[in-house]
Amino acid sequence: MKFNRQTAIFALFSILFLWLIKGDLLYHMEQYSYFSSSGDFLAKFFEQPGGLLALLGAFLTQFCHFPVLGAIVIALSLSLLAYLVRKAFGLEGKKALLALAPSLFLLLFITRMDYTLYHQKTYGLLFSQTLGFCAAVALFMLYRRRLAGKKLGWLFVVPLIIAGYPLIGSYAIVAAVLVVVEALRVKNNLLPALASTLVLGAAVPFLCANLPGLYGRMNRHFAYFAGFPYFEFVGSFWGFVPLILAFIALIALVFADSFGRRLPVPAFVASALIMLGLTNWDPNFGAVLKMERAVGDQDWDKVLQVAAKHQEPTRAQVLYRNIALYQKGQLTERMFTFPDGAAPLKTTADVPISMVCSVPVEYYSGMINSCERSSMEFSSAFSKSVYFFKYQTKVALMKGDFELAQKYLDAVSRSWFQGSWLRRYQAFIDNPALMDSEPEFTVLRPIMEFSSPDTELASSLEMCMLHHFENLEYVNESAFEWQAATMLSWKEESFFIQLFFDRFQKHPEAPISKGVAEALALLGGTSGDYDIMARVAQAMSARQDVLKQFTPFANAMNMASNPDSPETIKRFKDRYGNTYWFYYYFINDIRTN
Amino acid sequence: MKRLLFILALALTLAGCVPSGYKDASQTSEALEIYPDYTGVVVPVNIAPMNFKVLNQADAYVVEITSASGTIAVKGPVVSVPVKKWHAMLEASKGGELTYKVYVKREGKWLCFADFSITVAPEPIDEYVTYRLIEPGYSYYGQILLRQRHLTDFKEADLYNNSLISQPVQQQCINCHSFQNYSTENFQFHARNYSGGTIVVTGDKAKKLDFKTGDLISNGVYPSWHPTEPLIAYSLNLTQQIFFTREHQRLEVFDLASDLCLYDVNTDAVSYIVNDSLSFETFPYWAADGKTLYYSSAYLPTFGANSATDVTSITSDIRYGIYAIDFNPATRSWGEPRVIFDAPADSLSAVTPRPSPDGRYLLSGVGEYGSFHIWHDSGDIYITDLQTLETKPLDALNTDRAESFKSWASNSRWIAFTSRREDGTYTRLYLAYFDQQGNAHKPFLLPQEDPDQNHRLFKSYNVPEFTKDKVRWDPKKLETVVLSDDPVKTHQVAPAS
Repeated sequence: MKFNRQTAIFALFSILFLWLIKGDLLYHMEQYSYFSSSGDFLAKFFEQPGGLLALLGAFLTQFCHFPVLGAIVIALSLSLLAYLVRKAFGLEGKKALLALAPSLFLLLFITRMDYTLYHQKTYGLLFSQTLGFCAAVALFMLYRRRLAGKKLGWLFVVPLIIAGYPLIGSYAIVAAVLVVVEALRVKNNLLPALASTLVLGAAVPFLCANLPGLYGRMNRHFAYFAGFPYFEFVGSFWGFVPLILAFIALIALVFADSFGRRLPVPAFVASALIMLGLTNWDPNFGAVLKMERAVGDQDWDKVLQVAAKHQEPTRAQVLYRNIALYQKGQLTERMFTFPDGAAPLKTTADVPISMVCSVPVEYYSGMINSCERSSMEFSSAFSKSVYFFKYQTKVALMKGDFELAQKYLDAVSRSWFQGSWLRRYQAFIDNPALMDSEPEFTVLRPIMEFSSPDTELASSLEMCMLHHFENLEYVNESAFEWQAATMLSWKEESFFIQLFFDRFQKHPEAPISKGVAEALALLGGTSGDYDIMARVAQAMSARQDVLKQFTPFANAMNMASNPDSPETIKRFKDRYGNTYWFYYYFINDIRTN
Repeated sequence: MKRLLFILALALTLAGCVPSGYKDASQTSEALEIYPDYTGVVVPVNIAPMNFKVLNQADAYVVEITSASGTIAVKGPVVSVPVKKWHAMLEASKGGELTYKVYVKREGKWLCFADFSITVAPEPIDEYVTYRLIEPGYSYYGQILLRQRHLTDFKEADLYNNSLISQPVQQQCINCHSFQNYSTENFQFHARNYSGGTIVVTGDKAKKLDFKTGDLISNGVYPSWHPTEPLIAYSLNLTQQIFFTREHQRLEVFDLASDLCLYDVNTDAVSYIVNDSLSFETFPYWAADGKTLYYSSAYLPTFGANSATDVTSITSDIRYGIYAIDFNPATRSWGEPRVIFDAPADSLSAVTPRPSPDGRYLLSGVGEYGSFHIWHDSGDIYITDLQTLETKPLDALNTDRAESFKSWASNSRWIAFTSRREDGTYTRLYLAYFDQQGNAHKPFLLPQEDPDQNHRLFKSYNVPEFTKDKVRWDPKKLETVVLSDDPVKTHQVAPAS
């Protein structure tokens, strides 16, 4: 197999693009995937037609643990497709450039992925569609080289669909359609090829879905979508667009002989522009993936670096920022110095914030049962993954359920490349005493002493957190950080004041962080209640610096004639953008789901 | 090519061979560790091979199994006996024992552990057990399977599964399978949410029920088929769950109200059995003679179904006792409820009564409070002697983790139950011998072809129910019934007096 120069350049471009721009996406896909060589795991892939593609995809996704390696393997699969297309359609010389078009669209399939990934149910999406196209083109090439033009050559579609559908799903029908188009091109055996493709293409999926004893877990609604990512993109047409474009490109390439000499370059450029134009460039999506990875690595500085960069963050970024600040002991000290907001998730699918980040956020805010619940719910409803198994291991460790921790850790161990993580957590299972000196656990334990209402009836992540932390009793400094941060985030000022006074009464010497001091100054200054004002003044005696800053802010606010105007907001942001006061007055419409 | 195949065949044969030299082993005092722990258990004469894995570290393993028909040697550490050979051994040892001798090789020397044995009870177990496999989740549904396992080998098949119809957004829960009198001729299960309804199968016919009618507070929930009549007793439950954010117990499931009703399979009529507004009645189960219905009831005089009391705040004060009510199958009339096990008097809560088919004993699930003991570590199995009404914990079956659903085999000699003893989260299915003297013996984990299967399985076993035969409905055939958009409506009638 020899790749031509164009394919080599394309491969290099794909590697660099995927590694440098989509590296965090590849890592995410690997963490949200799972592979085990056990028979029961492998057997699950054959419950549905086309499962072979997902199985190979799940296996190859493991390489994305190292994004550069993942990028290389993806680029190789895309290059393989380009090679097969070039050979199958006889694209030589300048026309060889056209062989890259389907691969570009399949690269687009990966690069345009968005938050819909958070409800992926099918393993191996990074590879399965490319492999499906490779199989379809290889089968078409076999037909074109050996059988096209022969009298009974059209009979190829019979074994193609009957044997191909169970293995590669509807990609077998894609191959059969290419055979029909080829028959149309050469005006030979069109009718029998078309008839057999129509009949078998309709009948084989129908029979697989309906005959008792065959595919006893197959959903007949999706019989004609087998092998495609129907669970991920149903209701989200855009998810299928790259695949449709790749299919159209293949159909068009059947007629490549009749293309003029000038077509290949513009067609290639158009394909490349479509690929670049439809790629998901959403900076928040990239930031969420980067932060998710940094949280997994417990690299809190990196989380904060990313948080500082994005001026209109989603709630997922805000929450990741908060857990990083808490880990560094700076939650209420610095939380209002970062950009804040509630930018919507840019996706056509219905993906709540909870689905994106609840597992790590709940874990690192000490709501470990909620973390376990979210992991269990998402991995049940969507798919088991290394990511969820890891958090389930950690929760089981925190709860002292060591047999359970071992079960989850063993599950992680069946996937490749998890060695350092496995060694770290196996040590805690083997010697739980090590947990007493491990910051990951010691930082969380004090919040777990926090007594919350025993119900968790709220539906969204942040409402659960508010419900959990909306407790007016001071327990310890760690819990106070979360209580105060949550109440201030949601501007629950009366609860915050009560909580603070409870703390002040129990520990009058406890330091007052910047965020808390700013909140006290604001709430004391605007409450109109002399008792509160007096108590705030007493508590703030050590933070005169904040009170001094508040006076000019209050004056500026009083003098602002049109506080909602962009100019006013900008003016206040420039001067007070890193204060609770700015957050309180100007960061509005915080919505979460 | 032929040579290659020959070498491959030879290699495979040699790999399966038992290593030599183990007969000269010296005895070791080290404790033998095997998974599952099958040491000293009593098994039915028709059970599947009790495959296990030796956990003690070694370079090589041999296990000798001696039965009345002779001794076989099996290579370890996974000890797996072919089904046919196993059954010949069990048949020969009926009423006797299989003796296991485990040898391990370490640093070139063979060591032998102390023998252990498995007793072969002469009484067979019903050939099939049906259970639900489900992740121990809470609100979301993944793949849920109603599976039927052939207990004499490892064959397992879906009775039904929700993958057949679950949609990306619309998911379906399936639960509460129930058979009439250990036969698969008549059975039922519920589908919830997407295309929900109660599926009732009678012989070759099946229908989907839209159960809720009249003033019933809910659809039919926990079912029990009458052993002979075309009747199903259901509980009606308004169920809620609350989640704990940090406590060891993750959640609590409880009822806001519950009643009992009787459904006539032939006429689709539903009538109340008990609907006392001051009590929560649930978990009905028929005695084998069909003349008594056992159930659980929590008497809550300070609040009932019509009270505004917030049940959520007092879940740990709700305690159930076991009651019985007589039934006349001829007139379909009911007697007065009577107490069988006054668990609240002992500050306990007893639910899910299961009378033995011979009518002598009754099993119940007992915890400190509440009705959903699967989430309580305190959940244990108790037994009541129905002649003396003496109740005690069935210690042989209980651990400090949750034991919950249980059922009797049709000959009253075997109990299937679920327990979270392995890891506190994933419920596994255990079988235990219950002898004629009323003693339960050490339970054993449902045998699997690969003993590690339980470690790799991330689903729980739910509601084990014995049957004598296999369900003959194909899941796809049931799917068409589930998908029916014209379910049969029940109608409410007054109970017979």
